[in-house]
Amino acid sequence: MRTTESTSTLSAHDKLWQAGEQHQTDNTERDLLRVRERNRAHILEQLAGDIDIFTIMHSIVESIQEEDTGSICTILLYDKETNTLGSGVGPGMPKFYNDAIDGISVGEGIGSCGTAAFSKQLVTVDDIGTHPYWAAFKELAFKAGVQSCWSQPILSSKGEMVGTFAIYHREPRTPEPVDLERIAYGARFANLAIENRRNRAEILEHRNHLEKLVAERTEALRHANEELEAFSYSVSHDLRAPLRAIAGFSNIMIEDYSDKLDADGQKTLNTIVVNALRMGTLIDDILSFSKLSRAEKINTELDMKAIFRNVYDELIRQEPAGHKVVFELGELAPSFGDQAMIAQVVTNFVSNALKYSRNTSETHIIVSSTDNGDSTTYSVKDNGAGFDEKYKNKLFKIFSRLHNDRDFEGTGIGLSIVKKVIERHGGTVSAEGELGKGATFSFSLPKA
Amino acid sequence: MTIKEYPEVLLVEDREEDATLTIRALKKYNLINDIKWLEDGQYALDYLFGTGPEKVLQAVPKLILLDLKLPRVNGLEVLEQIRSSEGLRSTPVIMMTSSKEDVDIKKAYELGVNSYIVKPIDFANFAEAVKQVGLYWLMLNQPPAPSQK
Repeated sequence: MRTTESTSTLSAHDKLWQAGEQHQTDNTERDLLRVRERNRAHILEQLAGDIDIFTIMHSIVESIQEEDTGSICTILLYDKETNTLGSGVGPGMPKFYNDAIDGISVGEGIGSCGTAAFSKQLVTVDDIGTHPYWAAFKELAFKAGVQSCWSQPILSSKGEMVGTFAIYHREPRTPEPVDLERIAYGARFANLAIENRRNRAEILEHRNHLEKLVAERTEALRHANEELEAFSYSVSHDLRAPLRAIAGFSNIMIEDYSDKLDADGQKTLNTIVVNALRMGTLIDDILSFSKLSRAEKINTELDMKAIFRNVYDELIRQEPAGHKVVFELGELAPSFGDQAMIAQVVTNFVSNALKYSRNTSETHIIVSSTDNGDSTTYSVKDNGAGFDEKYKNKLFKIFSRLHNDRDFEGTGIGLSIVKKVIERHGGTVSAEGELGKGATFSFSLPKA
Repeated sequence: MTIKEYPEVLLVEDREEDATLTIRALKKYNLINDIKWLEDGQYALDYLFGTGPEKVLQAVPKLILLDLKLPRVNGLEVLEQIRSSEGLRSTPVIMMTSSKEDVDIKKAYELGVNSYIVKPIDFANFAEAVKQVGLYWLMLNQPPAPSQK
């Protein structure tokens, strides 16, 4: 309970008290409003911070006691499960009193508070000594030195019982209109604070739950990733070894038993070798595809022209000698992204252009870039086998091919790697083509 | 302790097929006369450190070809023990493995491997790789004189 009182508050109270008989002056009203505003601002500040609900209820009780000097206020909280009132605040009441009413039942005639909580109505007991509601608690109240008790139910915004706000006085007293306004205000403010803190606790609980959920999912994802890692590890190791044996021993057969094998037999063994090698390429391609999504992306400035030039120079060395190629490399806008990944994309586009134009008398490859404002598109145009636009949607799908392996070898993984890389960079891929007349493959990269 | 300077090459490889292919390639190019093949990492350690049932005195091969994934004791563990042994520290060890995993390559080099070779599936390439390894480490490379301990 407050131990010091400012004189201005005292005089304000006195004048207010007189207002019941005389005419209330503007001055006292302003003083009281000032007190209320100051306390309200203080409590709202507490509410905005991390202060616990009991401290805040304490402040509310003290603010009303400051307005109504000599009063003793209490807040009791309603417990729905047991239908009782308790665990509230009453800093002006002796401890024995607070202890005694902690857990009192809600019901008609159980003091002012029990009755108020029961009826959801204001209960004003002007004289504890004579009122039937207090018959059982009269001695306790006298021992605590109080003779009147008005109790206002605290109702939530949905109208549910939250608790009671009570004002006691040391002498029998009947409430004036200003008292009724004040007790209603105290109950409303108490409800605001309690609801706020309960909502906050609920949000906190939700947040903790969400954080726990996120942690669980992250852990599950990490586990799945680990399994994938272990899986691709054993794919890379265990699947390759038998293939090496198949290819190797077929070769031993060809080398050591060539005199015993006729042309058909040799051809059969060659087919075995070729297919084992194809399987090996397939495994390598699948692995690099799965590694791509796990690899860290390191962004740097990209000299796109240099990347295309280097890739082409490397690839043209591996081309069959008879393949005539004209490579037209225009001025390319620089870009931004992962050097190794983009080089892989470029390698794929250029090697496709070379591969699918192998049957033309003179291959013509044109590389260009166009500015789209917020992105740049890089295109590789060739005059090779092209493709039927009807099957365009299959181009970038994994394992899906538009050409027979006999005509153009491949695993059907290359363009799906391209798509994955470009999408990780926030860009798009596209293709245009006409069967027998060539194709243009493009990718766009956002500007940094 | 007497040091046994043979075999010329110790091959530690759990897959018989791979061992056959390796030995075949080495012999094809007349690179070796003498090769010892062991099937797992524990046999290799027993053999190298004279702790096995064979009771061989410490063997110091001219070259050790080591697979990575081996039963009982893996290739990286064998490598670690070789590198912490006085008598074997300077013996060339070549990892010949199917694993292209960056972590394995990194770890092998950290432990002091001399070369790391991913075994090609194609036999011609495989034979070529083995030939290069043999040529370089058995013919070209000049090892330090064996310690006289």
